[in-house]
Amino acid sequence: MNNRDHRANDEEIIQSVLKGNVDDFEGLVRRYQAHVLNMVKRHVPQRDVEETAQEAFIRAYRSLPNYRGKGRGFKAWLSAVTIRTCYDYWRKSYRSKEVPVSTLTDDHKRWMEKVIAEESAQGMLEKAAFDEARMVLDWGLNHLSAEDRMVLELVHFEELSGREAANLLGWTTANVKVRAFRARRKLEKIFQEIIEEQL
Amino acid sequence: MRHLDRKSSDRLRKALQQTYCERRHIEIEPSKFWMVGVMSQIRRIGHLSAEVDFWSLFEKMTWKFIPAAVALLLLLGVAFTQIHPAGENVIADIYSEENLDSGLYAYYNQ
Repeated sequence: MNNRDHRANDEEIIQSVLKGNVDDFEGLVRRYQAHVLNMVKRHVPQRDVEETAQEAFIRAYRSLPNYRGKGRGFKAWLSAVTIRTCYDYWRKSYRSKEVPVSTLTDDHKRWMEKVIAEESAQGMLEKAAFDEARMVLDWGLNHLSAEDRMVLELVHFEELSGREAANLLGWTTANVKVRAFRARRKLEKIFQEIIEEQL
Repeated sequence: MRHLDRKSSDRLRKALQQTYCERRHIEIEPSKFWMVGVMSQIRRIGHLSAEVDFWSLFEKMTWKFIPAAVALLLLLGVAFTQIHPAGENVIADIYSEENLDSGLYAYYNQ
């Protein structure tokens, strides 16, 4: 089934669900579960991926009456719902202070020193160093707000355009660009401080 | 103490970006109860109303128009301060002078 067939089929399922055939929604969940899980795992800690993906589908179901079939199609709409669910995950986590801001260990600092000393990017992420790299990344991101975190991941790490990120987050393109720039500066400043203080 | 210069900063950013991209390779295999969990919650929510919720639409539109409304208010505020504060008095004076010329004053002067 190609994309056009998928889209036509999605519209049929949505109409059926809106007519009261709730069980038909399972067809959409089956079709897009891998897509949603793939998106969620990039933004949310591994332990919370399944629950957040579940939340995204429930949110999509509740918002289905507001879905307009014209334009970008159900997949793009569901992607936006998923990203906003991930954003809400971080907002809730920060609000309830569930985001751990641990201190970096000597291994993490050694990894950073090695990275900034090496001329090439190769070899930075050997298997042994990957855990350190992941911890340093999470440590840095945990110091940002939910908004800065999401926009930084989408624009600077996933390299989406301002417009694409704006469509996913439901913000204006100008807001995304300004925030992405500021978030990057904030992250640089955080690492600058830790490097100046401790390396 | 070490300063993080532009090159070092770029190298660190690239390394962090690579680390971030590695998340794509994490295998997530949802448990067999995952789908059951999603559908049971959806069934609990039940039948959706296909009718458009006009109140939520109104709310959305209101928020969209708020910046324009504030800008308009500011503009009107500026426009009002530009108008001569004694404008009405000047108009009243003109009328009263005309009345004097063409009214009783002219009659007694005859």
